[in-house]
Amino acid sequence: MFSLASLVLLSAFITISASFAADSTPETDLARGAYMTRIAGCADCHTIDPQKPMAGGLKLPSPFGSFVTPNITFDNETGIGRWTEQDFVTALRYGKRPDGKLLYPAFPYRAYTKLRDEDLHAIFVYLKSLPPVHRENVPHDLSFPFDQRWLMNFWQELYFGTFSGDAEQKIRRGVGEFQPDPSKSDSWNRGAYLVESASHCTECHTPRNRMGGLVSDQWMSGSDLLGKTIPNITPDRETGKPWTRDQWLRFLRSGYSPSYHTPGDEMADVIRNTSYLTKEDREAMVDYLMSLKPVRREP
Amino acid sequence: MMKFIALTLFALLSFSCSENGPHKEVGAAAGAQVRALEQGYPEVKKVFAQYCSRCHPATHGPDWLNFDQAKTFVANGELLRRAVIKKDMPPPGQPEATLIPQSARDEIQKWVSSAKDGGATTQGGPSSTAVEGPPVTPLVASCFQCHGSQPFSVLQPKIPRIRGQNKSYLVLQLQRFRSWEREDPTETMNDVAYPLQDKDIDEAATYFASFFTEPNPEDAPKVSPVDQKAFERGKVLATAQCISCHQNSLNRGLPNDDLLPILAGQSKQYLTVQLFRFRKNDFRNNMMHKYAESLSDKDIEALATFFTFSP
Repeated sequence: MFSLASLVLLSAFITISASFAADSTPETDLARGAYMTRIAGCADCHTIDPQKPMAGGLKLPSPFGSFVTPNITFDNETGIGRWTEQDFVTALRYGKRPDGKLLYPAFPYRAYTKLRDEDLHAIFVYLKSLPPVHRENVPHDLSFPFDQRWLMNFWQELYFGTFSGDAEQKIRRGVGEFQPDPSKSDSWNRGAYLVESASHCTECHTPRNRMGGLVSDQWMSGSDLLGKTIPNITPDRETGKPWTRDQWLRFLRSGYSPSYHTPGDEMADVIRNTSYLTKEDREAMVDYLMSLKPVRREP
Repeated sequence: MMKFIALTLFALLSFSCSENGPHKEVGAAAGAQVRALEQGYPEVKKVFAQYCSRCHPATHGPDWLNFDQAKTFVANGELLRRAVIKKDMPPPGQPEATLIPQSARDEIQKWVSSAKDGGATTQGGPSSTAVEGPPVTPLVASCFQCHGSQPFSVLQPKIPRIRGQNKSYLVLQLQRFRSWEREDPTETMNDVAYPLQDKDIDEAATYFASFFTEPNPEDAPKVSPVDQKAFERGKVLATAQCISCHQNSLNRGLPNDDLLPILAGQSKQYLTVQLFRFRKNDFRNNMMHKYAESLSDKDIEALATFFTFSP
């Protein structure tokens, strides 16, 4: 029995890695890196001047104070020019800077930790290909005690541990590469991967507790962020988005909801990114989103 | 083999027809439209002289006794809207002597509609220049009054090109005008759409959408040297910002969702105005507002130039 399960798992892994890691040449890495960087929305927070992509400087207000996004161009003095690829992977997968200090989870490493090795490599290659910009980082403006970076050790202990649990919990809280669920279709797994890692939808759409940890049994059921209501996107009939497949596809394609309204603010940036999704990836995302457990909750 | 040759021939023939057809008669029908207006002008001028010039002498606002000026008010729909549809001319509170009788309003309507299909019906003559495509119903003809029977409105550059636009987009916009969800600053489209039923909307949208042709780079109007710089700038901006949804000839020619408008070949003035309105959040379209928010005036001009000159 055990060998059968492992065989299924192995074959699932092979098909998935075969379809997404077909070949790794500098060109394919660059193209894949550009694609994944877009789906991950890096530029939405790390860019304020479109002429200087990834040079940081955007203020992100939060209940804990305001974060200012850093320069992630490969400038040696002010950017991440001195980072090795290993430093980059450590930051995205473990939320840790090269100097050993921990990153604030305003940078959604809780989601990026699930990025596959080859995608992390591709994103690194792509970011490195962008022109370095010399722009000094601005310190965060956080209230006490959140300005104490060492406290992040406790935060990570609570919300970012190596978590042993069922597959669902692993997707939500586990550290490390995304593990496909062999009992689900390839498309579902691809969708889960994109939604839960790169697109980091849950960072806004799942409510947080006072410590900024995600409430994992209210996954994607909407939240209230500094007075902004972020909708419940589980398929709950009354409080969520019980949309059909076509309605979901249209929304991710052009931003038109079934009532022909369009989202604003950050979600407009997200739609700009999802409009670039390949047809297969968009369908995969919808497969996963429609399979979310309905949570009845008015955010 | 024969079948193949026949098919190729047929394809070639139909291709060359559709390519030459609409472009040739632009000038001719535009001329016919203006000629029809000019022909009927002496008649309607009496109405203007009697009822309009009392409050609108040549020195105050539109000079109705000047054909060229009167013509522009036909083109932007203002004359029809205010004198015939809404009848809010003269404005309330004016002395009784200034009231316009219905007969005079009918006269004005008759004059305006004489231009509606390029003057073809009133003149009888140049019907050979009539546009190819599905039959022009009276409803469609009423759209011609402002949008023209040609790709572009020949009288008013601000009026958008609707020929060859996506059907779903046209239907959605007419529904939005009807319900006032989308507001036309001149209210013309809201008034026009108000009495329409779903089948009318479908009829008009089907007619205009039937002119859609696959984009052909050779069809694109040549970019004038004056516009070249703006065009290049617009191309960079559009590539980064717009085309992932509003794909144009850089990709497949069709937006990735048929509810979105085709922008390539749209009137430059119309695009400019719309982008300004998006920037102001006039449309309550949150998404486009977000994208247009950070555009400078120069960016808007560049984008409009780029899309206008895209095939």
